[in-house]
Amino acid sequence: MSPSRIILCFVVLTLASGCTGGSGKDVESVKKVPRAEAIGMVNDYAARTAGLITPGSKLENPATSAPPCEGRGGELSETVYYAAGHYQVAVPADRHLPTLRRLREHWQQEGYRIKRDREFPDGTGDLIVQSPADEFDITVASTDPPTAFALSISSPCYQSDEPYQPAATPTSSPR
Amino acid sequence: MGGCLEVDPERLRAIAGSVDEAVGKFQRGYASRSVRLAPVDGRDGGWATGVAARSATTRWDALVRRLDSAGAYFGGVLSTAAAEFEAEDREAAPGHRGDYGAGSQGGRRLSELTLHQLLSCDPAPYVEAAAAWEEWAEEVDTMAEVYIRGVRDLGDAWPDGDAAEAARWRAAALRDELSNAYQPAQQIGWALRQLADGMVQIRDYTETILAGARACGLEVDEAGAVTAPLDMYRSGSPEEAARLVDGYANDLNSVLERARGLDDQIAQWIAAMMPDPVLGFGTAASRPISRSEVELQRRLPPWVVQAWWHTLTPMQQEQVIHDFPELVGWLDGVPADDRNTANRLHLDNDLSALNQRAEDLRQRVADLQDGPSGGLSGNNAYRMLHDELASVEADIARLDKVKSTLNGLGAKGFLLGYDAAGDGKLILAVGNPDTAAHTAVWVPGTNTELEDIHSNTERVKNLQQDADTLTQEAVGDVATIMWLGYDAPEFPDNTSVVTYGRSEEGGAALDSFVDGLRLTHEGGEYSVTAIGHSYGTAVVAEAALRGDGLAVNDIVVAGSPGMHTDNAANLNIEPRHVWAGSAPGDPFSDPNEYPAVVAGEAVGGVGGGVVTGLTLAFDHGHGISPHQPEFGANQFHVDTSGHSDYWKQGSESLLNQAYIVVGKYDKVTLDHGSPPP
Repeated sequence: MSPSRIILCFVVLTLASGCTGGSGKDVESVKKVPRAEAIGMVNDYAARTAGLITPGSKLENPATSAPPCEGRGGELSETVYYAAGHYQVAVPADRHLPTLRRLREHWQQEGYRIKRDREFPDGTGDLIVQSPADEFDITVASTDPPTAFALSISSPCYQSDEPYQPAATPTSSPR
Repeated sequence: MGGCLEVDPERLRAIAGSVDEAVGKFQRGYASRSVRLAPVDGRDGGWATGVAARSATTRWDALVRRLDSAGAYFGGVLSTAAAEFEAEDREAAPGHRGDYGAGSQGGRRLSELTLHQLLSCDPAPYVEAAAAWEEWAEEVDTMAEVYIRGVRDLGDAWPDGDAAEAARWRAAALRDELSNAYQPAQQIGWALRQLADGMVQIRDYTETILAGARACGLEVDEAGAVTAPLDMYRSGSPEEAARLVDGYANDLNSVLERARGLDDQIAQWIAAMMPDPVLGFGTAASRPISRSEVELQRRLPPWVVQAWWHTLTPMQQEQVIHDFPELVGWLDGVPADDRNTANRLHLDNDLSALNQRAEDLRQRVADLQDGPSGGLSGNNAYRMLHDELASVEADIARLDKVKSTLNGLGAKGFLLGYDAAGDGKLILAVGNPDTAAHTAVWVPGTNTELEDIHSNTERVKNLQQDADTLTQEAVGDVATIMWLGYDAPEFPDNTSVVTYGRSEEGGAALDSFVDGLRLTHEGGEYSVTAIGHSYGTAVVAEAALRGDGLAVNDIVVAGSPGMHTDNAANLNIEPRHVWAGSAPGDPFSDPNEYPAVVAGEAVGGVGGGVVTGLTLAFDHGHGISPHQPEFGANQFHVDTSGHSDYWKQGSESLLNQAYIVVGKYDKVTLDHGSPPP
């Protein structure tokens, strides 16, 4: 990159660093959802996905949080946040690809956007989809060794009346 | 028991628990490796060091049993006292010092090695024993720290009376005995390793001499006697044959003496590290460490700092952490746990001082408001106090952000560097890098200051969670670090963003930090990835370009304006381990953004002077963007947009970086390049 571009780009970024909802939206247009409710939605998505992977399967090593969304310039809002959750779901190694294919087919039928869909020669793979209704992202990826799926769910940015307090952010015990 | 209204039985019970835990682990830790501590050499005989080391384990065995009894007794005294205070029965008194058992005598003798024993020596048992002593020393260190921190509040929990004083004396004596046991254990490990290394060198050299003698036709028996065959005297010069025999005999004698000397020296060293049968290693407190000694370490390389840290007793380590937290917290080569303790203490000290200052100022402001009007000078004084109070409160708010972010991370948060001066410097880990199998060090860019901790921590937290969830074997085997160990450039305040100075300074500090991570890692496979964002990529580049490079497995850059070189091969790392990401709409790295920027819709309104002034710095560019094919790095696929979303949850940008951090290179989606094997 040439120096001229560096300088001009910094100018652009500086000017563009007004607070947004993290997706280029104005704060005012971001939907209002209490943090605890958003985390509940993340957990619901995780439970439904675990059920799709293997009916009755358990979400292991759960960790949820509701941190702030970043604006275009990397700035944070006190009230605009997203909810996220990380989990693992036990799946035998030989079931990874068949399960991922089944998940993809299911979500395609449901109108989800397939953001990434990879299969690897070692019988593992990953999948990232986005729900059409509320823009939740779901990532399913084979662990190493492939004894489980790593599952992560993240919501779009929401607005909450409660200001961001890291210590008070709902989260599970450290994993 | 002494009459006292302020005894806290709960805390006393907790302290008793710490004593039991520390001393119990001390005993179990020793018992679990006692067999390995004594080198058993099936082949040799003759090594005085082997005898000395075996004697040492007998003495240490006695010491450990004695300390175990003393700890159990002391813990019992505290628990009983707690129960009695709770029952309001204050008649009992803590017991007098217990009778300690005596250990057996250690042996010491001169080495009587023979040539045969030297040639048949096997260093493996000594290496194994050295490792066991080193492990044991580390455990002593850990247990002593647990103990020291556990009994620290004894004076508050049980403040008054003769019994309390006796308990404090006992706590201090046991603390010093535990603490003083660390260095001798470490020294025995060191000595055994010296012997193992030395014996191999001397044995190999002896074999070279023997091969030379045999090549000359000489014969050497097991005792080292050198003879020449009769026909050598008959067919050649008898003087020459005699000279050869004498020469090789002298060489063998000399090398045998060297081996005996080494053996004697090590045996005596080990004998000196044996605990006294009655007094153990004594209860004398170790010498206090001065500020200048700690300051000196900041100028030394991490491996020297690590060696220095290991020479300190646990009590001395505790003292320097307590007395000089602002120095210890930045020492590369000091374990993450200890840096974390020091930096948290430093942060708490700063917050306490600021809160105290704010309280004083509020009082003075209130006094002025309540007092008679002071006219102009009174108003000036009021305004000055008011302004100072506002400044102090702003500082408190700034540090509260650090504190609340740390609290939010819970047990996963490690504060590895903290300095509030100026824009502030901060190193914050999510997960313990000394125990993780994979660590990523993330370097932020322009305009990053202390108060930006929330957003930057979220980025490294996202990466840690994604990468850690990908590894199934162990929870917590990934640590990620937000490394603001440099003064990031300010824009548009000055031209630092287009010059190399900040990145050169930061690169040197980053290089040292990564070396320290490698040194303090507790063992097992370990991979380190350096990740740069924006100007942070120039910092990573400077660390990689200097000297022997940056001690990382992979370099990842995102939103990079350039890496001060036009080719990844110059970064002292195999180019396939260099990964660059560039998002659409990121004006720092995406060439397609250039025309739009030049078109300048967004530039309107900016003072032309700023642009013009900075434009003069054109010649100080950072090189080509590293995601461009001609740079020679891999370009990983990015599905986010703009300059700030590379670590967004649920993105392919983040997942690809998580795969790199855990070494699953074949799963990274590439726009161009090829993954390393």
